Amino acid sequence: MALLEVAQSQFGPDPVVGDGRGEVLVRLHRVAHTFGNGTRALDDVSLDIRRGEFLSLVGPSGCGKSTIMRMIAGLTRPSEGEIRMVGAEGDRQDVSIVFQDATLLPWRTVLANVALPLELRHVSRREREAAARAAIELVGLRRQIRVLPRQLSGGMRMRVSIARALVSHPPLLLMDEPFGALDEITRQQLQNELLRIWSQERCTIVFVTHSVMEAVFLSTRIAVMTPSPGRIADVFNVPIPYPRSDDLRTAPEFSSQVAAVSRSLHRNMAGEASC
Amino acid sequence: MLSDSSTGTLVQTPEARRRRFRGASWTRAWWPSVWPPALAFLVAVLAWQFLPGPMGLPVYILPTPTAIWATVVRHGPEFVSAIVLTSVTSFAGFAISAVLGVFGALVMAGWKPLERTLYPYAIILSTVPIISIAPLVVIWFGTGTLSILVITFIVGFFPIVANTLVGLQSASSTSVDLFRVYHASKLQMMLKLRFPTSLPFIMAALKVTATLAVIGTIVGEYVAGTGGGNGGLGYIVIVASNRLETAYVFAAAIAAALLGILFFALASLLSMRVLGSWHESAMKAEQ
Repeated sequence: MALLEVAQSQFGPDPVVGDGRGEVLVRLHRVAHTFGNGTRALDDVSLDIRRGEFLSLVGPSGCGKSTIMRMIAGLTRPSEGEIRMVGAEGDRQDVSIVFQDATLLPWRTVLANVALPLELRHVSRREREAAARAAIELVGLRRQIRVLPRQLSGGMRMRVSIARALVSHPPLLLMDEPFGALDEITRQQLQNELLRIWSQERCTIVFVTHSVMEAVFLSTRIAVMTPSPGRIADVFNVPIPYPRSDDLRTAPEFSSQVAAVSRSLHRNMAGEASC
Repeated sequence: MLSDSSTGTLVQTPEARRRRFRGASWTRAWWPSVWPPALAFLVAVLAWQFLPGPMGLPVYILPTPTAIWATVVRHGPEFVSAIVLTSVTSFAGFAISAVLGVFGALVMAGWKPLERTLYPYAIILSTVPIISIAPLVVIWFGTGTLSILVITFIVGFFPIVANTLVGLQSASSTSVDLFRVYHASKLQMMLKLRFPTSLPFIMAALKVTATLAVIGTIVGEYVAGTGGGNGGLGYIVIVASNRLETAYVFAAAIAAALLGILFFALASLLSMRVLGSWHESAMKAEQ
């Protein structure tokens, strides 16, 4: 916690460090991965994740986006290359993850679900419930605190899942297509909220999506990936300032960014029969 | 708007009306599914009471309901103690198999090689017809309550182990990943994820084995029951059928059936208590 505060003070009140000049938090160095069945999932991926940035990985399914996430989370070991967590507080203990499926435990209330990461670290009940309450407040579910997941809508479940990921104030938050299963309205709402939370919490987010618009709306930086085997084809800085509101979705600068990223995607897909 | 007092009555009245309406609709919804079987029961009992005589069926082939009731009254204390004995043995055997079954599965699941080695045998042993090994149990443990208890235990133990093991494996891969990201220990993974996930499987197994336990006890009493006013329902069935006391056989069979239903109801109640509302509704959502 103290270390995190020190880190925050380094970039002051403005959360935008989208120019790729921030301090490196995670470094992927020539990472490659081959699955047990011989499928080459990733090939020679080098990428620096910088403190405070909102980095999106965009690409078609099967380009190894999720594999990169799993590697950073420590769920999969790269078969080649290395992943380094930089900084004292950057050990794996402080990585949180949000999956496309909210992955809530159906027998636990919202409060108990959100408190889970702290419970697994043997944080005392009083402390973890206080932290869980704060996180639930942050995602706007104060009234649902004692409710079971089945009584919530898909969007609310995702909010709980995000609150759970934030409860330990992780410096690095991994989100693997978190809004992929939601309807468009809920999706845009949660995108707005995620930006608010990101600027409030000052965390670093790595966000996997296959929606270019989502990536442009949210990110400071976008890495475009190509499939079989997964590679990083292009990296874009998104120079649109924060806070970003719904008006941006119809703004010309937004469309031109989306077009640029889309062109890169299509250019790199040429010759690939991906669907 | 309205004053406080009037709001009070206005709020209460629709609420009360809704409650009454809900009560009425509840009866209306259930009545169609209640009265046909109830009527069938009544018709069957009346036919059973009044047809055998005119048809010339002797009482040792098909005793009438009143004859069965008369037998129950005549055997009074002996019959009641048989019911109590069978109930207690069934319940004890069932409880022991539930506790040891779940515990055994947890131990097996905790150490993969052990599980891989023993799981096939749990499946195989849960399919062995109990009647075929009951005499063996009597050879090993002698006639009497111990053998009956062992037979009841065997009937329940292996299905519970097998189901619990399946349940412990049923946690979704993302929830396992989630626990791994948060560095959950093996014990935490077991107690906070895998065991709760397996509860619906355990409860399903308990519902099945609750009725199996009654069958197991009756089978045990067939092969290992002792008399002297100390026999259970299974023992009564054997003895009474040898004496052609058909009414008494019927009485014992009906008592055993009711006992099985009671056990099933108790297991269902336990299941509802333990699972609360989260699992039932989760299943409905999946359908």
